[in-house]
Amino acid sequence: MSALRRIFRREPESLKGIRDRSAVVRSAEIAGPAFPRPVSGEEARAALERSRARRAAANGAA
Amino acid sequence: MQPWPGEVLDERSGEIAVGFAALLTRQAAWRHRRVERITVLSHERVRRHVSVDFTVPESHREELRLSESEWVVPLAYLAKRLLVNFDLFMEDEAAVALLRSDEAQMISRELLYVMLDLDTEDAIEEDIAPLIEWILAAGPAEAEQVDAAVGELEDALGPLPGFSALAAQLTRGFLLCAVLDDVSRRRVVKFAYDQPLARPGRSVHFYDTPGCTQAASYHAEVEVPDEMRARTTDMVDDLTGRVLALGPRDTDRPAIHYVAEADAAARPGLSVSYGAERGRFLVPAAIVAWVIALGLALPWLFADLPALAASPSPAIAILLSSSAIFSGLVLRSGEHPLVRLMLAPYRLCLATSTVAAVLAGGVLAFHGASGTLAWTWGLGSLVAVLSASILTVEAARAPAAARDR
Repeated sequence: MSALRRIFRREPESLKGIRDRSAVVRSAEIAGPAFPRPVSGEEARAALERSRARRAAANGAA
Repeated sequence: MQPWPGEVLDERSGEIAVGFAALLTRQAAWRHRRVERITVLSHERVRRHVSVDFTVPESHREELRLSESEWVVPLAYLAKRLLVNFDLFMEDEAAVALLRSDEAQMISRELLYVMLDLDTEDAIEEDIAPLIEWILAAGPAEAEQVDAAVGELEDALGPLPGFSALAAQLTRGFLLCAVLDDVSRRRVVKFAYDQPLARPGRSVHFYDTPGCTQAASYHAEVEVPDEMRARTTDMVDDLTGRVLALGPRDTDRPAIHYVAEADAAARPGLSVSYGAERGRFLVPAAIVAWVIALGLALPWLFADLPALAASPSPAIAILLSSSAIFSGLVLRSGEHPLVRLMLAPYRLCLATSTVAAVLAGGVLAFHGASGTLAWTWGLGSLVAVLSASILTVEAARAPAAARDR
């Protein structure tokens, strides 16, 4: 019967959802985050220092 | 006294996170090329080989330094699930050290704080710290709950695009970080792992390709098993059905090139439709099936079967037994498991045809009644013609081997 089904099969009109109709091999990887903009080293370092200062203050208050 | 390795990483994690923030928000600017090779091991398992070709920008090398002669480089995000047969190598196949997931978490923690601070300076530490620890420790089943908690934080503080994008991925995965002894030049790091097919299937496979967003240039190629061809190889966005890139048709080593933007609204993957080559099984099987069909149909239509049953002709016996021998020749084993799975329905067709021939010959040899003879040979002819037709259509549709084209 599967041989007959293959002979009379019709190609789907759209590839939308092809993943669900196929044997799927998931990747061990996941996509990278969609960051809104590039971050420079200087911006990141300034953010780290602000964040660490806040964390230190919060821990000191506790 | 020299500090212990864990203490070094604890001390350096903030500075490394600064470097990561710059590198991970501009992945295509320093990763030149990424190549994925997918080897189909069986109908249930593939092995994926990934190579990442990159140059760490000079301005960020000091940030990534772990010790005098060690630098930490982020290669990819791996899902939080078990890896099978994972290997990590340099260009010369020498093994590379990598950070354990708990070590990478130290950097990820600082990176989350950095991204949050870039989005807002209004976050309250007492609210944030437990959420960040939850993000890092969450299992795959908690992903939606963590997403909801991040959503609530956005409701309170306003949009947090960088933090929420990073949090979503660090909830589901962790950073794969290699520890290299030299980042002063262009490097190629390779890793490989086995993956099961989530739904084992015959002809159409879909390979997720999240890595296509992570380098300036992305190549994927598939090693097709012997006796098979990739009929079509397309890079498809599963969400919209849009074909992003077309690969060659009917080849045993399809390759595709594509570069996508890191876009949460797209789910790119490689859709490969496989076909068994016609020359090895389908054509011989179709010929054998037609010999059987004619051997049954012609006597049924034109011969006096009851008379033949009274004195069985050696010619018919030879014809039927030779059909069975030919069937045995093409019903062989020892192929790639995926080829065997794909050809199983057609082997069944040929086996059915052979059984019909043996039954018809048996009824004749045992002097069956004329009605039984007519029914057996008639049905046998029908089954044999149907099987031969199926095999002929599939042989005509199947790809030819390279040397036949």
